Amino acid sequence: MSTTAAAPATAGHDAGHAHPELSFLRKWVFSTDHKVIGIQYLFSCIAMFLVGGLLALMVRWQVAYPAGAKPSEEKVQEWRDQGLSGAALNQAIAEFDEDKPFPILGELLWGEKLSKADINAGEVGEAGLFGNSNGMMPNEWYNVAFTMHASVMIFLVIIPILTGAFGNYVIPLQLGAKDMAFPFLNGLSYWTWFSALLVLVASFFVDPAGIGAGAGWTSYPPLSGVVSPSAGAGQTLWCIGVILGGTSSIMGSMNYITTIVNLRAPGLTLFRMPLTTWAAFITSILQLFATPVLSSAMAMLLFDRHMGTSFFLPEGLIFSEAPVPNAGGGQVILWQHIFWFYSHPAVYIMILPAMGIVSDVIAVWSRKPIFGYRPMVFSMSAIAGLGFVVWGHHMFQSGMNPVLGTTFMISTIMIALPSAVKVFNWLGTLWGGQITFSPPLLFALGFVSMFVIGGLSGIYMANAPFDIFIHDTYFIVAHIHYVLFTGSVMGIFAGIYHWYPKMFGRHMSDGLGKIHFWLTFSFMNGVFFPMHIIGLGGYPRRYASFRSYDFLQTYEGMNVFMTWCAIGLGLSQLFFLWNFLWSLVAGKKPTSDNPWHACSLEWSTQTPPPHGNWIGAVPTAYHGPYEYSHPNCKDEFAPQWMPMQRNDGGGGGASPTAPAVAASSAPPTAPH
Amino acid sequence: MQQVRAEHFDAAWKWWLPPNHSSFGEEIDLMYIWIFWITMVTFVVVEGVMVYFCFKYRRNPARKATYIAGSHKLEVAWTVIPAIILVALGVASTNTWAKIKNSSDPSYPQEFQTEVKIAAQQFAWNVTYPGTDRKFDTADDFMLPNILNVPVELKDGAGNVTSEENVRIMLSSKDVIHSLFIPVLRVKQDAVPGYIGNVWFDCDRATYAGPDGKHLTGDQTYSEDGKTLLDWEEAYEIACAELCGLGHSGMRMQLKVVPRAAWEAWVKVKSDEAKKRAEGG
Ligand code: HEM
Ligand SMILES: [Cu+2]
Ligand SMILES: [Cu+2]
Repeated sequence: MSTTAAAPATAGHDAGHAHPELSFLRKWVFSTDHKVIGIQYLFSCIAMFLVGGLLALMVRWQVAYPAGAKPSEEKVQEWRDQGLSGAALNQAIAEFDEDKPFPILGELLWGEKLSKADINAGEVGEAGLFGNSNGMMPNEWYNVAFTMHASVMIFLVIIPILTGAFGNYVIPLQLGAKDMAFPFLNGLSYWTWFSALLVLVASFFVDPAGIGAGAGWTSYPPLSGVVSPSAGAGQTLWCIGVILGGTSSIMGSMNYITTIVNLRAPGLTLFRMPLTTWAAFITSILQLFATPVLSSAMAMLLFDRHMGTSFFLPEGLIFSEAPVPNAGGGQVILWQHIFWFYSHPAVYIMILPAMGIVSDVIAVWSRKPIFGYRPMVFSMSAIAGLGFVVWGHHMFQSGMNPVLGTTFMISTIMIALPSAVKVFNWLGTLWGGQITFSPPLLFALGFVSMFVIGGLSGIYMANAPFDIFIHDTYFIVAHIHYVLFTGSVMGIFAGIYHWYPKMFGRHMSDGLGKIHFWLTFSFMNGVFFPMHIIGLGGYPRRYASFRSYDFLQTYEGMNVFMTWCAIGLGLSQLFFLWNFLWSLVAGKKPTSDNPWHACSLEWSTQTPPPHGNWIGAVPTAYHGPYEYSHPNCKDEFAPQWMPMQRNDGGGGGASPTAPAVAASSAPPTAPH
Repeated sequence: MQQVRAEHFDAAWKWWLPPNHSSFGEEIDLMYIWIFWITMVTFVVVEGVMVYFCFKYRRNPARKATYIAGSHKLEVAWTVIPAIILVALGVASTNTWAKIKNSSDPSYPQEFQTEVKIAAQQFAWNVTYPGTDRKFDTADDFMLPNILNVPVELKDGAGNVTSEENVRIMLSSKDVIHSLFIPVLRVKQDAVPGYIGNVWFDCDRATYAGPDGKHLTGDQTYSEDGKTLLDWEEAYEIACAELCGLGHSGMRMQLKVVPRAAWEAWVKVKSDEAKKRAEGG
């Protein structure tokens, strides 16, 4: 690491560089400082969170207010009682029309609602902003909305905010490093990701026939592998966007691994690293091995679509009555193997960093060491290792060899174990603590309690015979939202509330944070819990309309309920947004560099940390990161960057509340 | 359809599952019930402990937190006990799985009383019946979109079926992946282009209990021309469960499970039509 190697330990970082004052562009836009890059990721991801959220609301809108309402049995009976029968009855049924456009917005966007009688009489209603489909959302919009909702949330929100924003901001500070190992690569990784963002957003606008990619985030060929109305130019851009996002992930993960292996502060052994950094380490290894596989899958799909290859297209494929010319010799299921070989590890890429954050937050806010620190590390490693051998659980019903299905069932069941171990250890960490219900802790507890639901529902699906029934139903949708929304997203909020003062030198409002938590917690359960129930009733996922099925009619009420809860959930995020933005300029300034009395190294430096992270030498780590309430310690907590002061007068160093610079008066070791 | 719909929601609810009418479905539902109770107990215990700790250990300046950094015994206990339960669940379900999906397993049915081919396409199911000679690729084969009719031997007048009435479906797709989903039979199998998948089921309940909603016996046919059978409204619903494009949620098929005599009369009518077409064309 050239930047610090040259720096005399006592002279301060900037002196070592002797670089001129950076231009605005170099400092804030094309920056190589990990903190600036982290904050860039944070802001971009929050913006994309809003986009993904709006797409989710479109999905919920369509699901609860689809076209094609049928008369109820009571209604038909009523007609019979009125003496209708035969052709007259059939006509009454055919002319029945009680489609309900979504209040206000329906007619605004998709035109005036006319009755069937008027339409049959040739009347044409006034068009809406997006077209004229009788006030109802067209199916193309729905398919694009759920495809892009998932793609945005996965590739542009959860993965980049966890690895890009928190990974960047927190790892070097927790390691006591002056920056990432490869600062330039770090900037490049952000801008590559940003180009992925632009390409994915552009996919909405390029398609003359449709309005974007609509084959689902899993994009199974042949649906995605042949240019067709369901998969036009938007689908092509989608593939390119995912490749760009993957490239950024690969760059980022190499950087994190190298930094963690090489740039730890003196004394900071691997088993003295906080769990956030451990999680980032393990996640990066997953990313490094899994992402190239996804990128090659996308490349193969692009070749099939545009260059006449046939990786995924079998002999005799027929699209809209015409044979697909390049089809022949390909294997449809091959895609699923490759895709899930990445995407199963990817679901752990989306949860492990949040698990790390939540561990740190719970320790700090309950003033306890992590219960079972090493088991926590081992269980994360086990999740990562097993994560590579369970991908087939997404393919139980795909026609894959059923003997393989049995194998994948067993490995999947095993992966629930380390998840359970983590939950028990979090409970152990709360046990006997001094718990303060601050917003970060509330979100961390929300994470633990809701992740339990997601983990337990995993057991239902891991059971291959029962998965026959629930595969591709709303039960899966419930599962993924319990792990990813009530899990990962809650973890992300916990992290933001926890590190905000360090990042921006201001406090967020506690009161607004608590309102945000309780509203989010209530509404998210209102949206996602009923999905288990309709899933158990056999309601298939990705259905634009339940109207064609008799057995789904009964779920209309639940659908409407979930949709309004989703709207409530969306509105609740305004409390967060306001709190986040307003506190940047008007939040209370922290009175100390370590306002939460935390032990890990990021709290030892100035707030916000200067370029180079520490003025002078980097700190030394004297013990583990969770020495809270130690019985032999004179103080309530013993920061990592100073030796523990013992009750009996042993140990050394200054008081933990003294400024951090004083701590590094311990003999500086030349950094690395 | 009214009768089936009412049954779907009023009767035989097993913790939100629709009623089951297939032989292996019972085993599947049993797995569900086991998992349901195991996970419910776990859930209540974990959340209960968490809420209790939050209450008991809330901040209190008079107290210092207890320094507990872990416990080997506990770690071993809460790894080994769930491991045993989970592995037991896994082992318990391997047989059911093999019986349903693995055609080389001894418990997989050896004989099928009825065979049909289904070729899925955007957005319909093309069902091919072998006709009266029960052989495919002969002149009396006939194809119907979105109508799956299968025969059963009735045990009583209430629509219950004698055991072992195995139906086999050879499932394929012309264009994209679809998935054949029969909720009340606990059947789901992807229809994959370039590949023929085997699906079987053994339905234990006829969809119809007589022309006036009353009783039905096995030797009744009700119809010589096959029309009545098609006019019966009662049917099980079959859905497409794999995203296949814009019409995915409309890809519905009906399944009618009817007494053998009636079914055979109907097949004969259809087969004769097909033969006539083949000769004429
Ligand atoms: C506790 C252990 C877990 C088990 C046993 C488990 C099991 C499963 C199984 C068997 C499926 C496939 C279901 C099907 O399509 O029929 C599935 C789907 C899924 N899981 Fe999990 N899971 C677990 C934890 C997680 C976690 C932690 C995450 C993410 C943070 C996650 C995210 C997902 C996603 C996104 C899907 C659906 C993908 C799709 O089809 O769109 N799961 N899980
Ligand atoms: Cu998975
Ligand atoms: Cu479909």
